[in-house]
Order: sequence, then structure tokens, then C-alpha cells
Amino acid sequence: MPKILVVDDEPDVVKLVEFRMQKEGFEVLTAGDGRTGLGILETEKPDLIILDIMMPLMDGMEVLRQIRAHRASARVPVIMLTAKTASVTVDEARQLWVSDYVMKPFDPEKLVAKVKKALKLPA
Amino acid sequence: MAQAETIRFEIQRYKRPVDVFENDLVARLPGLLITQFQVPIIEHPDGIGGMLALRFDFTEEWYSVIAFLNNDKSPAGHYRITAQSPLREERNLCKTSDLVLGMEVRPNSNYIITGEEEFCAAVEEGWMRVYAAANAREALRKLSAMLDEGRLPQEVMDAVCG
Repeated sequence: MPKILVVDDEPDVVKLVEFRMQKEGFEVLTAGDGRTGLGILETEKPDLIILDIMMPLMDGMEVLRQIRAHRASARVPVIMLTAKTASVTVDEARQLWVSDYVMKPFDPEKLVAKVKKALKLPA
Repeated sequence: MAQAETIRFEIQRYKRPVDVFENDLVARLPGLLITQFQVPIIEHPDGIGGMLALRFDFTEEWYSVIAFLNNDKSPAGHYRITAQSPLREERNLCKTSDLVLGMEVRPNSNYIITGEEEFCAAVEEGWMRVYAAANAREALRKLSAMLDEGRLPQEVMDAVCG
């Protein structure tokens, strides 16, 4: 069962994504901020990470840099979940091998489709 | 007599197999799990073997503390601090990663830092994230500052000293 880590500071978003991913049969780990998300990576090896860009304490881009800085998670697919559309962020994220983007507010079905695509699973 | 609730730990360690053991639950507080265990004599012939020990694991801090107790449950003054990733608990299963650095606090309040060479090797070999290493260093810096003032984390003091 693929394991997905969801990192977002909005509890409702986390619950929605968790519910939808579990319905698809994925195991879901959740974190309400980037630091907690990175802490989880000390003991877990998710197959994919859904990461919000705009978060307190540590923003998603810094979390992404830390994820890519370590060999254990350097190639884990990351889908950015964000309301932020600044092209500079998109460019930077692209350099850090972001698999895909989902803009908030988002359609859960589209997110599921992007997750399956990133994991190379049948749609 | 009611049986104590047990908590299973799985601790990832550098160059060692995952350490799996069970402790008895003492208290589950916001951000803190307190468990207890008997220190095996065979592994610790240095005075702490056979002692009762309280283990403090934090869900938002990058360290754990073990406090060793005398037979009358008074603090023996011996503490072991280990840098580790914040504890994750799911249905009585706790997971964390030992970040190698640690401190041994003696009854005379002197302390030594342990694991320096292994810590550097773990970082250089890429076993440990730079982010985790920075948090481990920061945790020990914070705790050594506390110890220099004759203190330990308040939650530990409250539980051990009453």
C-alpha cells in the first residue's frame, strides 16, 4: 500500500486529503507544519509527499529544500498544494523536482489523479 | 491488580538494527509520553543496572530523557539524554530515530557529551539529515545550558522530584 505524507497547516485541508487518499487505499501520514513533516521523515519513508507552500514556522519551499537535501528522500515525488502562483516559486520548485501542482481551492478528484500519475498507478 | 498499559517503541539507530522494546505507560500528557522500565542488570553492570527508570519522550522536542531512580523511587541523580526525532505515537506504537548525540548526567551534576565521532560519521555518510543534525545539536545546546544552571526540563523535574 503506497504511503503518502500530507503536510499542510490547514486542518480541514489535511482531513479532506487524508479522507480522500484513504478511500483510494493509500496509507496516509499527516503533519500540520513543515517541521513536523520533516520529523516524520526521520522514521517514515513515504512514497509521495503532498506539500503546502504557504505555512507558518517553515514554508513549503524550505521544507522541499530539506527533503531534496537528503538521499533518502531526494527522489520522492512531491505534489505542491498551494494558492501561491508566483512564477519565481514555480521556477524554484521545478528545480527541486516537484512532480506536479494543485491550486487551492482544489478538486479532490484531480488531486487523486495527479497522485496516481506521480506514483505511476493506473487512473 | 490491573496490568499496566504497555507502549511499544521502535527506534532507528545508526549502524544498528531497529531497537524494539516495550515500556509501561506512566502518563500521556500533551506533547509528552512518560514510560517506565527496569534497567537490565546484565547490560549495565555500572550501578544503574536493576534500577527503575523513567523515560520522557517529547512529541515536539528533539530529545528524550531517561531518569534513573533508587529503590525508594527517589532520583538517583543519574540521567541519560539522547538527541532523537520528535516522537510519533500511533495506537501505543512509538517511533523515533536516535540521532546519536547524547549526554550522561552524573549524580554530582557533571555531564559528558557522548557520540560526537559517530554523530559526525552519520552526517558525513548521509545517514542523518542535515536538518535533523542541526536540531540534535540545538537540543543538546539547550539542555547543556539548562544543566549549567542546575536544571532539567520542567516536566522531568516535576515527575522525578514530585
